[in-house]
Parts: sequence; C-alpha cells; structure tokens
Amino acid sequence: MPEQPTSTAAAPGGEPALEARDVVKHFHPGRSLFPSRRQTLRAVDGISFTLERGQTLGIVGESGCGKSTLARMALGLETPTAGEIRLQGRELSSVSRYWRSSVIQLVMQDPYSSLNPRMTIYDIVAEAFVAHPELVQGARRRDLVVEMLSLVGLGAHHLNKFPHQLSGGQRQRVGIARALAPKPSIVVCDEPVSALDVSVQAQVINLLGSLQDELALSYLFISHDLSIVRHVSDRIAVIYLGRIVEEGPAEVVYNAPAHPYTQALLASIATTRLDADGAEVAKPARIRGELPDPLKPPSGCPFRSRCFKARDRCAAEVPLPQPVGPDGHLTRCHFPTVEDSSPTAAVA
Amino acid sequence: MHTQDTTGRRAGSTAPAASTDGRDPQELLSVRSLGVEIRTGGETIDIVRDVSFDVRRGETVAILGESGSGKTMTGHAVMGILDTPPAYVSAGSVLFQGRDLLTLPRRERREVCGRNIGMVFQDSLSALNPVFSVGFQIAELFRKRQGASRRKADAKAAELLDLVEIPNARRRLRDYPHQFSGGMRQRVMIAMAIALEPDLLIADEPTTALDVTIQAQIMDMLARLCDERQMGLILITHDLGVVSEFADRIILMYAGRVVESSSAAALFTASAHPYSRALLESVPKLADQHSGLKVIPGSPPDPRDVGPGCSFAPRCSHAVPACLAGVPPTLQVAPDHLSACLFAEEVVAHA
Repeated sequence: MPEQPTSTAAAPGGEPALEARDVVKHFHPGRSLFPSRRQTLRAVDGISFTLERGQTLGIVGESGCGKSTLARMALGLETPTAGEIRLQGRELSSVSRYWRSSVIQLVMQDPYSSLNPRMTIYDIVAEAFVAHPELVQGARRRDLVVEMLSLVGLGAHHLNKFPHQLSGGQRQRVGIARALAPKPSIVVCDEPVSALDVSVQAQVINLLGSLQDELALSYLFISHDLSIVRHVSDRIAVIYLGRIVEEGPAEVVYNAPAHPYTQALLASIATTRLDADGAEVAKPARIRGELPDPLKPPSGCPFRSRCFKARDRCAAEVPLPQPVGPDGHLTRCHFPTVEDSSPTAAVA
Repeated sequence: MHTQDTTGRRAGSTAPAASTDGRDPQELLSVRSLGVEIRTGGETIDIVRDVSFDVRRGETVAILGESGSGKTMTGHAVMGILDTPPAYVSAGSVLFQGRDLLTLPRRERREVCGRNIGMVFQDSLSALNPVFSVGFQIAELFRKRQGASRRKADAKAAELLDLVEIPNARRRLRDYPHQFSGGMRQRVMIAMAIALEPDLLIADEPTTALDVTIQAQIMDMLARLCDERQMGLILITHDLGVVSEFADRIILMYAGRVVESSSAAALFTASAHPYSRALLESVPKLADQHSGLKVIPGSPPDPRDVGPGCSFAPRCSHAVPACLAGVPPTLQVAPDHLSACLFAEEVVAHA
C-alpha cells in the first residue's frame, strides 16, 4: 500500500473521501409494546472519523463492537440514528442511491457465499453495468468485463465459469472486480482476506494495494487481523463498544498505543516466545474477560470492566477524545499512556 | 516451551506403569505412514499420504496446514472419527501407548478414544447438543463412563467449569449452549474433552472463530492445563502466530503430505522447505509496514489432481524438473528436523 497519499489526496480544497461526524446507530432488539421497556443497543455511539482521498483507514475491534454497522452506514445500507456521514462532501441522506453506488462499493468477507452460485463470472461482474448503463452499452460491455477481470489478474477464459469452479483466491478477485466495476472511488473492505488460505492472503492484499495506487482508491479496511490492518492502513481507528477509543497514524497507534485496550489487543496477538537470539520472552499481559453485554454497558468508560488501570473516575465519567500525540493521535482514556518508547511485542 | 531437560525431569516423576516392554514411557502417540483416502463413486482420492509423527507426554505438537492439506483428516483418523464411508484409513499405524488403534476391536477403541484421548472441535455450537443443558452434557460423561451418581456427576461438572475459568460455574450448569458466548462455549468443549483426564488432547482449530483477545485467553488456559496434567496436545491449526507461541513441535502439511517437521523454533528461524519459507514471508509482520508482501503464486492443488512429484513444485521458486518426477525423499537437515525437499540443505543454508 502506498506510504504517501496519492496525488488526488493532496489536491487542495478536495473534500475528504468519507467523513463521519458523531454518528450514532441504535437498535431496539426485542421490541416491546411499552416504550418504557424498550431496550436500546448502542451499536455505534458517536463515532467521528475522516478518510482522506487515496488513503486507507483501518478499523479494528472485537466482534460486536460496531465496526460492521459502521461499514453498513457508510454504504447507505443502514440509516444513522443521529450524526452525519459525508461522501465526498455530500451528505449521505441527500444523495441518490444511484450516485452512492457509483462512489462507494463493498468487498465482502466470504467469497464462497457472496457470489451467486447460479451466475457466471461474466454475469456477476456485468451486473454493475446493468445498474449503471451509462458506463457502457451494447457489445462494449463484454470488453469492459474482460478489462475488469484482467485488472484483478483473471484471464478472459474465466468468463463463462461458475463460482464453484474457482478457488477461494480467484473468487475474492471476482468479488473485487465486481466492486470496482461501477468505478467507485471508495471501497469498503470488510474482512477481505480472513476467509482465505494463508498462502493466498498475500496475493489479495498486494492486489488491493496495487489497485489503490492505480485507481487512486480510498479504503475503509475492516479486519480483526491486526498485523494485516497495520500493513495496509495509513490511519487506524480502534473501536470498543461502539466508540473509537483510539485513532491515529498506523505507525503511532502500533508503536505507542495510548489506550489500555489497544495495548491489550496488541498483547493478545499470538507471538513467538523466542526473540532473535533464541531467548524466551516474557508473555505480555492479556486482556481479561469478554465484551460486556452491549445492552448494559458499564457506566463511564465502557472498557473499565476489563481494564487494569480502572479507577473510580472511570466509572463516573465518560472519557472524551483527547489528543495524545502528533498527527491527530486521539484517545478516549482518563489515564492514557502518553510516553511509551518501549517497542511493542515482536511478532512472528 | 518445554525444554528437553524439563520433560526429562517429569519423566522420572510421572512414569506410567506400562513401561515394561522397553518403550519410552514418555511416548504417547506414534503415527506411522498414515494414509487416508476418500472413495466416491469409483474414484479414490488420497487425502492424507504417508504421515508420520510422534507426541510425547506434556508436549504440544502442531499440525499446521491450509485448508485441504489433510490436517483435520489426520486428526480424525487418530481419533477414529473419520466419516466412513467415504473416508477410509488406507495405510499406516496409530500406536497409542504401544497399542495400534487401527487394529483394535471397535469396542476397545471407543474405550481408548473416549477415555484416554479427548477432542476439542472447532465449531462449538454444532458440536454441543442444543437441547441439553451444558451441565447435563458434561455430567453425562461421569455418569456413563464412571457410573457416578447424578449428584456427584453434577458436582464434578461444576468443578470442571471452574477449572476452565467460566464465571459462576455452578449457576451456569443449567444454561444451554446458545446462552454462552463463543469463547465460553469453547471453554465448555475443553472441559468436556478433559473431563476424564485423558493423556492426549486433539484440538482442531480450537480458537479460529474467536476474537484475538479471547483466543489468547483460551490458548493460555489450554497450555496451562496441558502443563499441569502432562497431557500431550495435538493442535490442528492454520494460524502461524498461535503455532509460534504455543507449539513445541510443528508438523507442516501440504496437499496431504508432511513437508517439514521440526521444533517450533527451528521452523521459524531455520526452515528447510520452500513452502514453509514462503509461508512465513507471505504473512505481514507488525514490525515492517508497507513493504509489499512476498506472494506465493497460485493456490493449493485440488487433491484430485496431485501429480506424482512434489505437490508444492508448481508454486515453488526452487522447482526443477526432478521435483515433478517423484515424491522427494524426506531428508534430515538437523537432529529432529525433517524436510521433504530435494533442496532442503540449500534452503536451510539460505536462512
């Protein structure tokens, strides 16, 4: 992935690709007739971020933390309860579905279930041109599908195959070709490689990287694999129970995590027990317990029930985002680790 | 990691009685030239070929491989729970404490596999019975296998849930599997697997479906239990990180064969097979960002059309025509370090 923003990102006056301001999404599971008994699940509870053009924003968090809800809102599949999401400067609720789908697209996690088994590869990719007929018409459509496939490294001989005839990696490439067909500038990648074999993951990661360079794409990259997120992202947002607990440049968040949750996440990555000299290294402290019930989150800081630093103040006051470093490194913690020069755990 | 001398020390203290035949009393399981095939409508596909490995008391042996490499089939063949038909053991032997499980009468085999070998499955939601409470399912083991009374079995079940660090163990006995989180269900699975104090535990992708935080907790617990009880553990997984942290030995499989077998440290520092080397290089490391990953071209072969030679040759940067001619011999590159590659020595030298 590119180290520096591509030229479009540096363009003066350019609106960010994607912007979220205090986005909230509440669900009401088990609807009750009586309003007083209604429970509120705060899936996303006031999230703000900016994805600059040509950059990658990595979203990290445990399952159930709200990262997929956030992605669905960015794609317009869910409407925020409050707050606003701007796509290239335009408020998402005011744009047409048609325009939206030509700007933002999704690469899904599981290439085995996200492709229709009854459609050929041609039909799957060409479906985008049915929805967007202005892109291509008539006989040129086939050429464009071939072009899309070659962009992701698949030959034209795959056109008439069905998904079950392809390997997992090839299927994910079809999924990427389908997402890119309407020429979006933003792609939401929801765990794009976690269903793939280890030896194939690198192919897809590198492909996403070269496509980003070539097409000046912006990625919202969701994954639970912290080493992959670090590898692809310019900035990283760590989410816990619907809130961003830490956000900043990838390098800074990984090397000097300020929030105890980020530190615990990094400590949870399975690492080799031997350092470079073959000596055993001490195991880092692991995080305790499980994600609390999102219907009854702890008062104050939602992480306090699992935090080794938790004190009285954490139960009483909700920590607000505060800057802890350069380049907009923010964290929501009353007791952040500000000066941490010790390197994070070496990883296999 | 258990170093050789600590295992040796434990040998003196916990030597089992059945060591009169001159076997190494620490030796738990010895798999030799195991083969598994799938027979479907006139076609026979070799899924596992010529797999050999040993597990000692208190040792964690990881069977590492991608999907379709035959790692799960190997585990199932050892446990005797292959889906037969279509899968059959076609060759080899599985010696457990000196007895060949494959030739034991069915009844005796079930006795051994239930009592002395425990198994943890990947998908805890489908491995647990949804219509019985968790407490009932654990207590059933004691009632059926040890003839314990209901009250006693329930007490033991509560103890076990405590042991696997489930909060409010006694109260949760009455809960059903769906009322537990994924991590908690996996703990229940482990509790059931270790209930009868087996000598060997087979864990098939025990943490794959879990978050990293929970994965770390469960693996720590599993390692602690194995250490406390001197259980052998076969850890079937595709996760290089988990393997590097928890395994003592690694059996790396590719397309049904063992391509490299070594201590965990040796695989990560001095791997002797191009596949292991490429695999390690293709994984992003936290330390270096944005460097572009080394890619292994292609994808793992379909087990139906594996050629006569080295299965990795079509994706291998070292491959020469000789690789495709016949299965490469297994070479010993160091004590206790085997590699099935014609160029094993060169690959190690490149480290």
